[in-house]
Amino acid sequence: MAKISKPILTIVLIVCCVALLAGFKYFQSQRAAANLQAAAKTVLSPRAKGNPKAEIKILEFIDFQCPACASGVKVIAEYLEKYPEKVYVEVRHFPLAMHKHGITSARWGECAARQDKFWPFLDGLIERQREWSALNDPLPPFRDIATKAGLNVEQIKECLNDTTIDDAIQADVEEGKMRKVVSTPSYFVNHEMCVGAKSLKTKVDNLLGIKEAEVKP
Amino acid sequence: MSEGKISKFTTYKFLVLRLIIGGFFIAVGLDKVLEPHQNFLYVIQGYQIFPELLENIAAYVFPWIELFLGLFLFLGLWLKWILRGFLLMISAFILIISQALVRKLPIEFCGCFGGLFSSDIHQTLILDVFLWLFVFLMMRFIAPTSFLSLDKYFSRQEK
Repeated sequence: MAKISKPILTIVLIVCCVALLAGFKYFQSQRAAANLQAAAKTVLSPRAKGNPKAEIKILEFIDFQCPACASGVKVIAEYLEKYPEKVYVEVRHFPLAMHKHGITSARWGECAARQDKFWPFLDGLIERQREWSALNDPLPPFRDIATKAGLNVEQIKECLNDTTIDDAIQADVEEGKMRKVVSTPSYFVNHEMCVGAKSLKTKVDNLLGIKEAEVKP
Repeated sequence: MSEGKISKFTTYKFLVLRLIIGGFFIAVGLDKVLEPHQNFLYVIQGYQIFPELLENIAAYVFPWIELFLGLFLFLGLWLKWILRGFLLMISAFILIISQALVRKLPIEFCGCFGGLFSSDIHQTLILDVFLWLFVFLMMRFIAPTSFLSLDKYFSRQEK
């Protein structure tokens, strides 16, 4: 048997590993793209804002209890205010297990979306995030936020008993998993992934051609 | 304990330690390499220690370093150098996590182990300190650590 030297074995190992993993990643991304195309038809209750024909389309995966998501929401709100024709945002639920009110807040958010009041409700949730996050029972502030956002609280009570809201949230979570989302906030800016408000700002500023940071994360 | 009087049992213990730590880093590195690099970039950004360019480079390079250090430790190839690399890398982890704790940065979970498991930064710091000690021990007792290694195979071939 021909002898192989230590340096040669090292190089062979590195090259084989890199080639194998690069190939695996390529096939994984192809499969994910195909799955996403199929999933795009089944997404329920999209929560969107801005110009649907905008040059910058942001898909956001959010957990309403995540502090970093609150920063992200504020950054996006400023973009929407400053560049209403250039930016379009769609929100997907991605409640994380580490947040005790993640799922409850997502269910309320979904019910707000069904009354077409998702955005004012989201603003209220984010504004008072610290307050309700610290509570064992976040429902009193949720009711208050809902009322101030102009929601019919009786309808929300009915909506919360509807199992299809859980299906909608689960569909979002499944889509997120397909897109390899593991933490929040995760964004897809014109289909390109960026995680966290800092990366989002860098990406969107680049697309808008902003050199100096005008919108702070 | 001196290198000359190491029992068979101790040799096996070092072998198991080498395989476990090597295997652990292979799994962590693989998980990060196969995930989009943006997920690990977000973790690095949380520690607020590197400039933007370095954050991006680290997000691409670190998972590969973890993977190859783990693989070479597992196989026992270039052990002396690999163990030094491990000590350096784990020392860097300890420093980075410590500065985050001192600065009270709002990091909910470490994110250091990719999607394999999540731990808070206190737990991760303790784990890193233990890893550092184990690697130091392996470096100190390189003979039992080299048991059933490719290094041993190549040195026998040279003779």
